Amino acid sequence: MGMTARFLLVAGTALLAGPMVAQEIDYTDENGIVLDRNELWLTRIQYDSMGGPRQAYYFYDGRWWERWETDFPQAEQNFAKRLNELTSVVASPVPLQRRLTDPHLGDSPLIFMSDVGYMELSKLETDALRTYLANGGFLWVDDFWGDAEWASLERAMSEVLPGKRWITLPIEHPIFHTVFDIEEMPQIPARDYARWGRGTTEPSFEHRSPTGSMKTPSIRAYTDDDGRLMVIATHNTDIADGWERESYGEWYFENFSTKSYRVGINVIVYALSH
Amino acid sequence: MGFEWLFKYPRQAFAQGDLAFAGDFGVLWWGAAVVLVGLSIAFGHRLARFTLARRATIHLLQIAAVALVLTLLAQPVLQVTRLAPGANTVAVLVDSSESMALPAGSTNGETRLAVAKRLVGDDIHAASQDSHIAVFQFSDALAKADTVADLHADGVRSRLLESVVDVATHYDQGALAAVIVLTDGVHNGGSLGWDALTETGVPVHAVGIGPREIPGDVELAELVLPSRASPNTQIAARLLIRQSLNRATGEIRLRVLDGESVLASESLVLDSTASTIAKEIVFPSGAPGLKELTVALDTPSGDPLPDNNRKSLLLDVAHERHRVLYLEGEPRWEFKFLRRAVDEDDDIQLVTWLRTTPRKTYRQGTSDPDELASGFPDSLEALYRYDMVIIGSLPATSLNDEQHEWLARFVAERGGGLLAIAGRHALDNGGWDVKPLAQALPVAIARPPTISSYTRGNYAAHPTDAGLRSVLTDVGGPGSRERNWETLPMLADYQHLGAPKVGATVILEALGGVVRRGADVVVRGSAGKPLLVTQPYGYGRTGVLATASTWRWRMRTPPEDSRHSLFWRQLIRQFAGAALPRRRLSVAGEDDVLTVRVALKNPLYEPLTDTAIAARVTSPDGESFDVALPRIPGEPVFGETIPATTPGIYRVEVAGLSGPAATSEGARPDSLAALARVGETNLEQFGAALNETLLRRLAEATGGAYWQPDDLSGLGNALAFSQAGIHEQQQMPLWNAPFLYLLLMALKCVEWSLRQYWGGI
Repeated sequence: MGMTARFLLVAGTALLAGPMVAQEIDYTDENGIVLDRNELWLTRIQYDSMGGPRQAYYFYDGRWWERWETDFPQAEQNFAKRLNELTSVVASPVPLQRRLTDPHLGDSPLIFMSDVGYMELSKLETDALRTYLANGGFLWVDDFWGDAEWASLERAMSEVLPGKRWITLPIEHPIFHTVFDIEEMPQIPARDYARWGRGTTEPSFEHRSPTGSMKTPSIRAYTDDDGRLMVIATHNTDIADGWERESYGEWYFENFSTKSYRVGINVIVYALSH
Repeated sequence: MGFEWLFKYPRQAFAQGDLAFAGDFGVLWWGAAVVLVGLSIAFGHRLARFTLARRATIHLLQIAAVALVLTLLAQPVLQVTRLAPGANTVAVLVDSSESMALPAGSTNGETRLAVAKRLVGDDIHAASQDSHIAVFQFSDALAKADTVADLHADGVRSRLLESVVDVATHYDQGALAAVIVLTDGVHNGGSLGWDALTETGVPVHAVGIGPREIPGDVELAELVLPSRASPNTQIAARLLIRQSLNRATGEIRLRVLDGESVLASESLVLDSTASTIAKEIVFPSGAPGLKELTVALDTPSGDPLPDNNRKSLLLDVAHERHRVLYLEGEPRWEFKFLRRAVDEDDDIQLVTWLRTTPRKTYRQGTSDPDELASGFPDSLEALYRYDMVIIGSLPATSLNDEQHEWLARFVAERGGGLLAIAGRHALDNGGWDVKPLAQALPVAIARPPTISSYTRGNYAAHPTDAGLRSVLTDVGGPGSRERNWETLPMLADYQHLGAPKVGATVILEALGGVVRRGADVVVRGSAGKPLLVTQPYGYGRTGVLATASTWRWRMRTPPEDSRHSLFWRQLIRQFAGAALPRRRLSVAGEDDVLTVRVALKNPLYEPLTDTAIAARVTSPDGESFDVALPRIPGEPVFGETIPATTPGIYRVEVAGLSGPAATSEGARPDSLAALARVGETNLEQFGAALNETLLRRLAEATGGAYWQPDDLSGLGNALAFSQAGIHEQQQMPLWNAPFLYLLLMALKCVEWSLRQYWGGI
């Protein structure tokens, strides 16, 4: 039984068992090894997107991809490996994928969403994310570019946390300095658009219109009442592509993957310590 | 046939007197002796047919009879010293405190004071014979009583022993032969002063009045509360409930009240076969301020003394910031959520040192840029500025040998709290088993030869019996304390520990084989393993938490569920709050004095003794006065006993501590303040049954005796032969004591019977 099938089965069984507190389960990988729920599990959120081809899903590298699974799981697998090599964090080499309504979402205090330009959250998902964040969970949204895709995320999050305002984190913010001192927010393009002399901004036809300017990458955030970051959005950049494509050439690794890892490590350590 | 009929005189006379002979051993006596011995020899040949042994027996009986007759002829007397008639005084002390208005337990319904009055006017008057009687009443104070009939049981306190010593020492209206005290033995004022009592040399005769037990009574005998607490924390009040045995079993309600508002309430059924029951009740401290809290037992109707069902104590709720150092070797969820749990607690300053990479660390919560700049505190003094240290998944090699020694001293000498949390590099996995701190931990830790002691799996945290009585397991929630733990999400890891050490307390156990379905719990059967263990060590306290997945209690419960936060805040406050302060002021109000004690230590927690301090005392009526606090001889503390005659709440402030006694943190004020109440109410309603043990001890310590009120027949002789007072010598003839003649007759009867039996008169 593949991992996806097993998790769907587990989630379905748990939902039938009871809506309040789900039955505890052991997590094992495909080799039967028990995964440690205390380890950092890089958890990709599976969501639905609106539209058809090139909107909700796209064809790339010989198959159709849903938006949520962009760069998954290779990005997380590479990132976990680098986390274990470079830091004291113990990250599980096996990434998870979960829906926001998964009763075991609480086992992953950090979740990751990618390519959210066409994302649609149901009422149940919106409520579940609100509860997750109120409990101290941390959401990282990555790889969405331009004004329309930002508006898509902003609309969805305004349902999750009504009244919250996005702030753009200045470079002095601790998240840029927890492990590495980052002096400038890097713009990481998808590997196909990373060519010497071309610049780092992805072409506008790859993203939802109207894009507006996509030149300036930033980290925008929601904070809780105590000023702690709850949600961060790495906008106009594709940090996870830098992880996924680290082996696609020395030039890309040195110019983009290293920067992606610096940002990723800082965010992870921030999430684990605040 | 009593002693006095046989021997003519009371036991006291023989105990005190010497035997002597009033007659002279002249010609007449010697003549009688010769005649008697001669007759014995003359008739001796008639015994020739007996064997030697039988002859010897008969001779011995005859010699004894002759000797007895010769003794009688010598006129034996008992030489005694007894009170000189008319020259002595017997002081009679009548207890006039409120408890003497309670029933004496007799069938006619008399009060204890009525019994005392009757005894004074009747039995005691007779027993005092030729001595004068001086009657006193005592309660809060000692006073001469002109007429017994005018005594009223209205004293709010019983200074029993002080009153006895006072009379025995200072009575100057005549020679004091003895003290008779009529009381129920309720003693609630002044110090006991047993040495002073025995030094008076005056025998005290105690007449115990009242029932040994008050049927149907339930009493809140003791109430112990900390004098200070942080706001919005859980506090445990320890109670001792006393009840009359075989009281009808019934549910009673226990409440903690702040004025009219109920802070905590629970019902309990007392075991009717136990005379005392210890109990603990937990309640929230609430907002800052001085509070007079009342603990009340609501008993079913029929309790004869409802006023002894409640006690009040002062609680000063004020912010007191605890500094906690958390050393963590890996960024992990337990670290994040522990920080979040205490973030909202203004009384906890959590300073964290996190190893983010093998060569980088991350500091949070520091007071200044230099704090922990070089990692672990770089001096013992710097370490001692914290009240508690938490060690997470940190290899022991992160510290040098000197720093390991400092950690052990931090607990043992500075009195700090230390908690070790499970992890891949924690406890034995991190090599802590061979470091000095291992001695201080409440469990044995030993590195397994091959496998890690840190394991993964589902475990439920379950409070032990001791845990259920501890504040540490009071995490709130809608149900009972046990239920609130049953419904917490499962833990995901467990670090195997060795056996708890002697003196350690297992607060929580980890149960494996547990399945949760909704709110229901299925236990498949698994022995509990120690999960949270604590113990006092030196002046401090240590603990081990064998899991690092309590964060799941936060992430897998609804946002409004505060059990995770409360667990950590309680745990840290209990550990850090118990740490020795560098400056401590304690004020105790007792009777009409305040006892003030101040202990000061330098930054290395060595006692400071060479400084001058003073206290400003503000009385309940607002008057203030200064009192110097000299050093208490032989002790590393300063203090004074200050008269406090006005009942109420006193405030004592010790200022000017900015010199050598100043704290280096700078955040704490340079003065200490404390409150104490003087003059309790309803004292006489507590412990109101007859305290026969105390009265017997009082009598035995002074050479007197304990008497039942319905049998004072021996009191007269006891007084007559008292060791104190003015005495005269007397010779009391014994020649006509019936015992001697009965003995003579017995000797001759035995002799005659033996001769008859052996075959020849």
